[in-house]
Amino acid sequence: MLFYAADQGYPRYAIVAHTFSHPDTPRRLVYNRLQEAVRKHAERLYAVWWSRWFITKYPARYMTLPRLINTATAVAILHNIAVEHRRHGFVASTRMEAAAAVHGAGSGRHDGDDQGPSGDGMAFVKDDGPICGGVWGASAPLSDRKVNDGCGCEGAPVGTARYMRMAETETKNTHKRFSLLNDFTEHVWKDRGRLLAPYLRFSDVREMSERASGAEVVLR
Amino acid sequence: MDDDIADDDLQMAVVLGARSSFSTRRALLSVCEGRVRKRVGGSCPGRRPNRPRDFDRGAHAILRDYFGVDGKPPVYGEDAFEERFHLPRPVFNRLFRSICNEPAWRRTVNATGRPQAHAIQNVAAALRVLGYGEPFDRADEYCCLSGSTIDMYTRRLPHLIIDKWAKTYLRRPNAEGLEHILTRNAARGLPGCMGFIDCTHCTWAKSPKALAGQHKDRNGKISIVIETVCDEDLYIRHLFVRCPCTYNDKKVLAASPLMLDVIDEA
Repeated sequence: MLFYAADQGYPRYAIVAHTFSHPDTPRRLVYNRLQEAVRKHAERLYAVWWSRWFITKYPARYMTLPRLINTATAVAILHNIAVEHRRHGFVASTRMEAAAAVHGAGSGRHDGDDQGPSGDGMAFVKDDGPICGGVWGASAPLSDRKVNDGCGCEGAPVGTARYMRMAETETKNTHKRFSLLNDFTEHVWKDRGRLLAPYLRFSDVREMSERASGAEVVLR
Repeated sequence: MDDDIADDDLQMAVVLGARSSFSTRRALLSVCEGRVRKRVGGSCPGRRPNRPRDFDRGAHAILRDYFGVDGKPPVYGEDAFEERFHLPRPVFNRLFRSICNEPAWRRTVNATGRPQAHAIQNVAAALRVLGYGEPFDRADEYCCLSGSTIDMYTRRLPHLIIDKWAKTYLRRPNAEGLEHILTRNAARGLPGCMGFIDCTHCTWAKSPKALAGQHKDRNGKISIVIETVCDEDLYIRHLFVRCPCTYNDKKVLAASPLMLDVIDEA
């Protein structure tokens, strides 16, 4: 089941993974810590966006709603192009790499872009289309979409009203959300040393690496 | 001296050619539409004449400051370039390459035969407005464009960007892209996470009076909700700007096309 990470303002659907509002066990605490650390980029986006494109923060010049929407969309596209241009220098990547280097786990970058940093002027030789093909891939036609197994929607073909009805019920299932969160809590707890390493202070990480059994020490 | 005469002849030829094409286009337009276009302000007798702006000076100033002319290096470096244009230089170059030959952006000749502003002035002025949120006539002295012209180009730039790049840079991920997102998030400890969703309010300072009550949030300000889904590189996967601020996050989620996508794909 796929989901979006969100904060407490969102409804309790199976498609949305919150933090626990009253974490009472160490496992839930650890899960909350990781979810907030990973999700903070959603909050950071607005700060970056508005410091870069101030017009979106106070769109004072616009009298009409369509013009405001157009401007916000265009600014988001420009932001995306700029991000694609320099995605490898961001905090999210450098932190992961630093933690992985200290921890000795894997080769560092877990991202699928193997085209290397594109910081030089040679990046945009062709005029349209993103440079990292792995991020997006080619656009797929509608008929190629598959029905997920285990979704409970196998009975109806994709696109019919019955399928959409079943999928909606599935998406808004509250019980599934509980089982999803519990599974996550267990998953994060098992691997907490490695997963939380990028978000700790540098001194903590260094101390952790000095000890042999680093993973057991964190967040005891 | 000969060069000057040749230059003058060339300029005259350019102006005459542009004038003839202008009048032809005007005639064609009026035939196609079956009517003569309504006159909107402009150069009527008795009104204030256009200010004698030196368009070449504006273009030269921009080129001198950020691109370098006559073999000299630019006045401002890369950091200042990115600060002022709000885009890295390769991205700006890409934007400018796609814009500079558009009929609405390139240098034209107006009805009186005067050459108009260069494309670089239009792009620079529009980006100033978008980036700094400044008034339209703020860049008048630097770019040598009037406020209404900058308003027009600020209106055109989003249309052009959306037409050209919205299908590439603001679309739903397909199966392959989704796989990529899931791999990245699984490495961070959240397997199955498609992105991070959040809403925020942006103040709409000059909203029409008719929409004021509808768009008033709990603090009494008139604003609009922006819903985004981004990844950890701050790449915006989904953007929804439409809801009035009386909506909370739950209502915005219910109204946004994101939910339809999820239901469609689930």
